[in-house]
Amino acid sequence: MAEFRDGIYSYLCYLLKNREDAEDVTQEVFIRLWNHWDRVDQARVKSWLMRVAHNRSIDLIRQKKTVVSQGRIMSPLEYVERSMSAEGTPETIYENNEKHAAILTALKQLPEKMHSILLMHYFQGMKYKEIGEILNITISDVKVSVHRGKKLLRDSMIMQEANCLMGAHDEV
Amino acid sequence: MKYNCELFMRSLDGFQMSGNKNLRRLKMWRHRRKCKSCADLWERDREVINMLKQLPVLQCPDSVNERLKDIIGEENKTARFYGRRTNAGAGRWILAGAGLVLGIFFIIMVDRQGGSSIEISSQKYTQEEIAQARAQLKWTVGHVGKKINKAKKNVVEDIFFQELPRAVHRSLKQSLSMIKGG
Repeated sequence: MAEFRDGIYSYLCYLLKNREDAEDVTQEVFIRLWNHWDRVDQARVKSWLMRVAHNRSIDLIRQKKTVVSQGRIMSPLEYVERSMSAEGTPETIYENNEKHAAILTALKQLPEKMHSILLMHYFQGMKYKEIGEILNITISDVKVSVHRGKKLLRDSMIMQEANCLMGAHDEV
Repeated sequence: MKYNCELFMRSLDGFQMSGNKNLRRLKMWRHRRKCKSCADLWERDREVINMLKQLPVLQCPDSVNERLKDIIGEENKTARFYGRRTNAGAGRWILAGAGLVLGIFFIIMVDRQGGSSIEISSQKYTQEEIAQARAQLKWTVGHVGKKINKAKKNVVEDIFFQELPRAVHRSLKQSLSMIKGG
């Protein structure tokens, strides 16, 4: 199960934006897997884990909307610092970190469902059909969410770049 | 039909799925060479996709792993104590086989005693319990080794690996108390 653990934990960190919550949900997901091991289709363990992780995190996000969060929100740079990708020259590491921070800032602004679908499809490498089964929606709905999500991300990235340029111009 | 920006957009987002995949790519590539705005859009799209794909995988902290090991370890011990879950595959089958034999023996004993009730080491089994055991056993034996759907398979496994071994556990407990002079 170690092969899935980091993937699920990363997905939850990016979705919940809170390290403590991600740790708790990861723990809960794997305990559930242990308790339901006999009933889980062994060929589709990843889908099962993703479904439980997604449902639990949505519950948590809904709860947090009514109760003020006690946990600490992670900044995009903190995600990057905690990551394992510290290979390459200092320049490439810095460049990659900047890119990750930018995409995470843009992702934060998306609705939860869209955010989750984009992470499942591109970060976790899941197919439209699998995502549809996990979220109980049609393949067309998944495609529409991916399309809209990407558009919002593109727009957000353009805005970020424009802000950077404006900032640089003001400094000059 | 002439390939235009709308078709390019549909292909980009996976809505245009008909036809050959390579041909679709070729058409998109040709269109990009002619249309500057679609080429820009494609570049932006690739950039966003690559950024999402290259997001760093965060390492799950050791504290979570340790907590998981503790909880699962404890559960395993408890479950094994009550005969709910065992790790050893061979042991599981032996236990299930023993349970099956004991179950059949139980039914034979009931039939020999008139088929209404049975008394084993001061424990009297009611007619309801006997009927339930008989039905469970018949149903399980009837389904073992057959191609069945997942829901039925779960029920067979529940009875075969959990209910029957529980009966063995109970019988062993009774036998032990008899040996000790109960």
